[in-house]
Amino acid sequence: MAQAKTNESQPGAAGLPGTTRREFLKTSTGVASATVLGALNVGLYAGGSDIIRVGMIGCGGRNSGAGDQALAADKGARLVAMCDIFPDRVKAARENIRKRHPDQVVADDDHCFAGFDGYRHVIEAADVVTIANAAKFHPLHAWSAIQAGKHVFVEKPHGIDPAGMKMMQRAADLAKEKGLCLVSGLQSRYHTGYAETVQRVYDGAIGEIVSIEENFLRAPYVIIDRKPGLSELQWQCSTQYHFRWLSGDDVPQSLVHNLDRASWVMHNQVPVKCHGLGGRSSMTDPIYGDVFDHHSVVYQFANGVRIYAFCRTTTGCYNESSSVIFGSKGKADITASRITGENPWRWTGKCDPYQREHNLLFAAIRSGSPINNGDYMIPSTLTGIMGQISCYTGKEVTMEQMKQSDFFYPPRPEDCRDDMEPPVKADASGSYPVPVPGQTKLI
Amino acid sequence: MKRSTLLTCTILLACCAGILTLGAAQGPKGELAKKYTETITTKDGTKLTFDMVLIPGGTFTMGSPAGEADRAEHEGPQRQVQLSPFYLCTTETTLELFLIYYQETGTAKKEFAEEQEAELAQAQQAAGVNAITGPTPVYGDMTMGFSKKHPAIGMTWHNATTFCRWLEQKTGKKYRLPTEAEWEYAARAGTTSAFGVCDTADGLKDFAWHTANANMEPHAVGTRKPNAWGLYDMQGNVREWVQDFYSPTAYEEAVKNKETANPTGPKEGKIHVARGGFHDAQPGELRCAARAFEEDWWRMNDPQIPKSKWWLPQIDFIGIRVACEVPGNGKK
Repeated sequence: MAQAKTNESQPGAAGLPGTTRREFLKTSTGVASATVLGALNVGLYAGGSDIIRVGMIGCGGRNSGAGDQALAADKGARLVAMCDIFPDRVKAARENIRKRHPDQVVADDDHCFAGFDGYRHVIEAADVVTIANAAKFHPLHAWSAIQAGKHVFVEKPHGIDPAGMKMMQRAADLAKEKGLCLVSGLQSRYHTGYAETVQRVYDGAIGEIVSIEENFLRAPYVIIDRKPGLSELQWQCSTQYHFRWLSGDDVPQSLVHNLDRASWVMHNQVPVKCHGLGGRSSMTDPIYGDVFDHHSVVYQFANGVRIYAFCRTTTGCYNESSSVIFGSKGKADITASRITGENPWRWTGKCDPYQREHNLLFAAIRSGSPINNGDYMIPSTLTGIMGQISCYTGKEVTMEQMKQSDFFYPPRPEDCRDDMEPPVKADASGSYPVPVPGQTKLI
Repeated sequence: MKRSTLLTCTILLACCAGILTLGAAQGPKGELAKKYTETITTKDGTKLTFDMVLIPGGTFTMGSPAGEADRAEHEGPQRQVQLSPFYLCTTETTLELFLIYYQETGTAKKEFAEEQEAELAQAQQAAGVNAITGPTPVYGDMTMGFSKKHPAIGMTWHNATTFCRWLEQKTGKKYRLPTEAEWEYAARAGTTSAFGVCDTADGLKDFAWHTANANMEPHAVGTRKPNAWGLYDMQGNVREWVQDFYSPTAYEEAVKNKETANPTGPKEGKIHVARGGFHDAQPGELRCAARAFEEDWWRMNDPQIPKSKWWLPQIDFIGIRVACEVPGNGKK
């Protein structure tokens, strides 16, 4: 990585030109009026005219990062409302972001919400929402925000099951119709080095693509101790990466980045089928919930090119994070932004894709030319889900099956209640049931 | 801790860790060994070694003269600094060793609240347990695709110092990061030229992986020529954390406060100094006096808030070189 300082231009918070301003008001139906701003203590705002109100749905580490990046992207952005299942996470996130942007955090206690329904209040209070919480809820929260006329940044994966992806597709379609932004947390697409590498592959730097190897082999997701006093539901939500009904497991969670890059380099084609292997080898303690700790998936595109994709979350094993494209004339490693073979090349720039996606989002809101990432974020996530389902069932799964399926991990996100029983329960030994390839049926 | 207790612990720990070499101990006539090989035995019995060389005590001129090409203002004023002897590792710490530390101390547990962590530390202390809680999982891949013999990269200063504590616990010897003064003294190795190992930038290729020869990536440690004191990669490959807090006026303050012997830098600060050039650095950054320090963007690949206190994901130009106290040296 080169040392030069980033010159990424930050879209300014200059006043909105008249027409754009009107467009902005039109798309933000019924909320950007002075009356509503007044309800949110308008006295804090410099007249309110160039303010974009940001709401955070989810207050863990990643959405705290997204909230921070949103405020850094635009001087007129104000954090006005936040929610999480857990009230202490809301307060902690607010303090952490306030440390970095003391003048831009205006969410008072009345605009900090806890529980499954908190998202409704955040959407109501904001012009743009950042969504990074358990992926089960991403489609519902994005769809609700778009319906309410709000711009959306949503983390990957963009759902965990085929039913959720249908809802996300409706959200993407409606966003297009309404002229709202829908920006995806699949940040590879916003990385200028990756983009240039992919462009060179498009231009023939490695010849014809022969096959693709994708690795995300790394340490486990954080383990969270079960604090006394937590209900079973709260416990599972607090450690959501370890429960399938909340996170969808590691292929959509992590490998989705790799699969998205593979699709990108194949001109956004989507694999037609896959077969996967997976299981639990070392992370079998109840604290690891009911997810697998290793997966291998072989995907096939219509032209026969295959992706060999691997992910693992264990300690003490070999680690690698890479997207390697093998071609007839060379090899491209997208995450290293490097090409070897007949046309060797290496990108020498520097890019913060996490910040860049927010810079572009806010610039788009200001300019009235919305960004909609639906065209790749939904197929890439569905590809991840397809691989996961193949690992769980042990069967070959086709994209056609995925598109037809209405499978979802119960309960539906809109049916989740703070006082419900979680859908999975531990057995007498404290262990949670896990899928058994060859026996488990999902679609 | 009383000295006798410390000694007992040291001996116990040394035995537990299976140290075969006691080279750092004083020789029969009370002379310090010129060098020694440290052996680290992992929990599963694998042995890893690294070489430590005695850096003799002495006095040198720290900082760069006003006329030096590529000089930055914070490299001055120059001053005389006196240093006691210490041991310094001949190479940068390898990924192989750092991975072992990570595996033996790492925790997958997330600390949501700082208090929680403090409570834990207190409870451990009360129970007489001196367990080191090491890094949380790295976001991505710590090796960044490099071999075991490449330098460990992308750790925060906090992580680097925790690594030293782990080495201390493993070996019973007082491992630590070198101070900024010690680092520069060792890089100069008794010379007075800007680069220490050669007189002109052209000569650097033989000694340092940098922009002219490294193809923008770190290389296996110890694969260029060493300097006059047997130290590899001081000028290039990866930058190296040192103990001191960074301040642009640190040298002025030191002169004002008449800190001449074993200086340790500003008493307070937020960011730390990193020394030495790296694989994509220009020759000017390879000068013995050149100072780098942690910058905000080193954390840009960590998309979370708060940022990890352990990792600088994908930052492949910052590493560690460990120093060790000579026996009986009470200075920090």
